Amino acid sequence: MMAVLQTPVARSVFAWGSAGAVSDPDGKLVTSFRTVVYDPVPGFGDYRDYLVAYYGEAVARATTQSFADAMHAIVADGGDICRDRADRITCPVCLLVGEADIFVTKPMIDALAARIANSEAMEVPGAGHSIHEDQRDWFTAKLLDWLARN
Amino acid sequence: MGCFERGDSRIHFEITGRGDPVLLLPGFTDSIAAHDVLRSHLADRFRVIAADLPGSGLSGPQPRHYSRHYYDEDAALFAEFLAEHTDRPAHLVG
Repeated sequence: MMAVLQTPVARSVFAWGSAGAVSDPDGKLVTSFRTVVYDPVPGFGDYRDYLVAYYGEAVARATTQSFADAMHAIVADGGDICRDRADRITCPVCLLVGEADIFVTKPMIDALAARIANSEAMEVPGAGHSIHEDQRDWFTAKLLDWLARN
Repeated sequence: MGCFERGDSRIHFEITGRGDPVLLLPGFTDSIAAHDVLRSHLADRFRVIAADLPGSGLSGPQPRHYSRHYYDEDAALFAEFLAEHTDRPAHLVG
């Protein structure tokens, strides 16, 4: 988004788990955040524990519910965050998505990359949404290589 | 360690290393503290400006109200933040 709206500040973009748009055809994404603190869906238990331990239950609940409301509004408007304006981006962009990401898919980052003149998109095996944690060594090497080349 | 404030938003940040600027932004509810190892690798060659998103990590407000257009609001906020800490285009990582 910064590279779209604030083009002069960006030398390059290296992003993961982000597609400039939200897709939630069955409502699972919004529900996952709305209920995570008091009734986490399967797979969100560890995230719930992290949120409550770090922020406290009240702040965690208010934060995730407000975030869910925003996601719901974005989806209701068609899901676009910045993808429709991505052709304004002039700097090099690298987009990564984990093969097991539950929020973002390879076709979604491909759709974003297709709007950016100088871009590459890649699916990372053995990773979910948090590629930097799931494939830590590979991720660090990939990022350092990207920065060195750009 | 520092704090950048505009209106109701407060950005907690830390700057390490020397070189071309890299703005490192963890995701929603994540924090820069969880990226210490990555930051140390980057800081060997880059000036790493690591910041928590408003409402996440140690940035405020908490709890935050997320509007339909919060991405746009955050982009403008971080552009202003970056202008205070570098006069060169930065690599945006996050």
